[in-house]
Amino acid sequence: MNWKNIGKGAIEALRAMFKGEFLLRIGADKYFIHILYAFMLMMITIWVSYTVDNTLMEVEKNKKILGDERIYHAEMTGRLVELNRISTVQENLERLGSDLRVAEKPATKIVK
Amino acid sequence: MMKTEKRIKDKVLRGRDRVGFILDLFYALVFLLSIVIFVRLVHIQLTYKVDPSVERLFRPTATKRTETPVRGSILAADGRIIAISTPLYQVYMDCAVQKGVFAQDEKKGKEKEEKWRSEARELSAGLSDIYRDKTAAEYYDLIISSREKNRRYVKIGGKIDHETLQRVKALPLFNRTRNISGLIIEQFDSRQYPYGSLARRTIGYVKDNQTYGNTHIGIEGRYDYVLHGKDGYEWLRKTEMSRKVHSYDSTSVKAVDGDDVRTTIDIDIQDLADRALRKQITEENRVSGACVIIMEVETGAIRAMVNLQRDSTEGSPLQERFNLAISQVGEPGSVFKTVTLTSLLEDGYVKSLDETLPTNHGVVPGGYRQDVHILDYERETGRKEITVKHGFEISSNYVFAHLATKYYGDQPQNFFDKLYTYKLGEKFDFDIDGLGTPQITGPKSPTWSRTTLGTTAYGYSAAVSPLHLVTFYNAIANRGKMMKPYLVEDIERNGRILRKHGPSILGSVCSPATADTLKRALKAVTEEGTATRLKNAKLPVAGKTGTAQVALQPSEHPRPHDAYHDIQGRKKNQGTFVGFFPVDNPKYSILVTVYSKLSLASFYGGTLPAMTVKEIVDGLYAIRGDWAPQVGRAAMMPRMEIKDAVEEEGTVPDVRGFGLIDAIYAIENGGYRCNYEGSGHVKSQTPLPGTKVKKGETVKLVLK
Repeated sequence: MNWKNIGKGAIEALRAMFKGEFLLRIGADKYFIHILYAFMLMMITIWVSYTVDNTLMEVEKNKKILGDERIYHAEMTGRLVELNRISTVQENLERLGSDLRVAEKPATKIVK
Repeated sequence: MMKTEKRIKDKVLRGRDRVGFILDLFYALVFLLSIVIFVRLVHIQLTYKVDPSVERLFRPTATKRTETPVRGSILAADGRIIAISTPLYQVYMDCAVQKGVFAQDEKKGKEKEEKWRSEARELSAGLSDIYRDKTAAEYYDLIISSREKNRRYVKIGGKIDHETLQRVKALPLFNRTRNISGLIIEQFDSRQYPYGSLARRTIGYVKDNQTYGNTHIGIEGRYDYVLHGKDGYEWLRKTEMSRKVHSYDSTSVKAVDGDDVRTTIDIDIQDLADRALRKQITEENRVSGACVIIMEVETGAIRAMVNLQRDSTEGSPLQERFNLAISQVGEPGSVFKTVTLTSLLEDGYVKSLDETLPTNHGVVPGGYRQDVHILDYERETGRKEITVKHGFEISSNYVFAHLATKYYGDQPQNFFDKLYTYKLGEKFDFDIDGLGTPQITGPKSPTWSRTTLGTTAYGYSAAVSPLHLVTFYNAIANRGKMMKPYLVEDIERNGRILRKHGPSILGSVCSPATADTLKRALKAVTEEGTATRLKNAKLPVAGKTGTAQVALQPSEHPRPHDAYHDIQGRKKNQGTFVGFFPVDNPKYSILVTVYSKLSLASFYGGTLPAMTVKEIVDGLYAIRGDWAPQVGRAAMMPRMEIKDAVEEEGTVPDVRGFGLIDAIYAIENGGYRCNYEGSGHVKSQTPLPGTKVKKGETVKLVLK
């Protein structure tokens, strides 16, 4: 093969392209199904990549929601615990002017 | 022939010249290239600046995000949270946001700027409402003036919690995207203590999970390696939509949150003890500090540890400033007589508490100090002999100095060896740092004198911490078995136990028979002796009082040959009550020690400490069902009907037949006030049930 032949081949290929015969000339019709398959694979790859990105974004969003809920839970637990203290209950009762006091004796147990 | 040879020779030489020339040229080119590369390298390294728009394209898109672990919680024995980590947030504002963009937009820029400012005005009103530190006008001025000055990091209010942050984020302007609102949020880890300063010295204190104070105090300090967790990191990549997601192509290390520490602290008992101690000493300004330890007899679990102290300024509040309970090593005073009595009983020198010894006018043979208790005893009874039990009841120094010198005088080391057996001479491993080391002056000590054995027998010449003392008394309550005091029950992760600590045994101090004899002696102290303030406690208490004078520091100017008084005759006292309850089946051991400031007055173990113990015992009796009175099913119970006490809105509920507490609850729930007389169950009520009465009116109950 020399440069002359290469040049000729290139011109022929260009002409075939303009005529719309290029794929037939190279015999691609025999591999058409493979080309379609490759094309489909590429499409699937792009679609999967897009879906994975969307899922990961959803994961990030959910992570944030979970984090927020955990923080909210911790804050609420802290506040409830504070109210649970006997001294706080007593102080609140006194503040509200209630006569209710912490028991001075335990409740009587009924046994068998 | 010759010509031909010459031509060939010339040709070779010319060829050589051409090769040489090409090689020289090649060498010169390479040399030139190397100089260019070198200069280029220097230029790139030192002076070259890449166009940022180009640089961006060559930079890796992945960014590293560090994950900080959440510090583990500290839990009470029943799982209630004592310390928890929650984040706090600081809001900043980029006040110059979009300013340049609006300025460039000739058509709608002015309109957009006006709209932004109008939203900023609404935002200011919201911020003022949430933070309450500035008026709406002040906030608006701050935002607009900062916008004029192109300030991009303006602090808004103080740190806020997560719930408040959500309210801030929902405000006008701040509810829009970052590049419109200019909202910047910074998160800070923050440690919360829902019970405030309760047990602060035992729990410890940290500001956040990154830094903790310069002192390694409490459980926060000692268990920091468990609570802290491990840092992690992950790589994020940008998606096609410019959102950052986890990059699975890069390595990542997940942050491991800290584990939880479950303590033995019972919040109700701690709260009760804290309140009882404050009640007794708040008004007593001569008290410098006090501590309470409550230990579970069977296990050695510390259920409460209170440490209250004032600073030297007049009228300063009581605060958890120093762990007196474990660190304050001092001469314990008469509470040490129980230790001496234990040795005497165990070694068989005293076989019965009813054994007698001569009163000898309160002077130990060979000694010089006179015991005034014995003089009083001689005067009141006219007897010349005293029983060991009575000597213990009235806390006679003479009796115990006499017994110790009589039986251990020849071989004092035997007595001091006993103290080590009782763990009163050594520091044992404890769950928080700072446990004081006892100081025992044995016969081999350079400060040993002929009176040391006698003074040690009644609680001087030896120094121990309150925790050592209560551990010893706990062993007596536990029939001789000494449990190791502990504060940490287990290490947990999400409620699952990873490592159990639990109870462990330190040793045995005496036989069960000796423990029973000691119990009898200690019970006599609260019934007939120096702690009769506990006689009417709701649960029978056994224990011993102790009053010791505290040796003064050189800075307190003690007298030349009297370490216990200053030049004005003032002294410092340490009053202790240590014991256990209920006597027959002890559940808790308790110690209360009160420390006085320099004062002319004396503080006795039978006063403030005993009163505090009574307050705690009575409170525990009420809040714990362990000692609740029991009735059989067949017993006569007041007849009660099950009825719904919640009446129609605005009508008085029917509480007839109710107990007082239930009746008050129902009436106050209905919005009325309650007045009552009598005791038992509600017999009648005025106004009658179902009567329409305005809220806030009083309902009168008669109980029978």
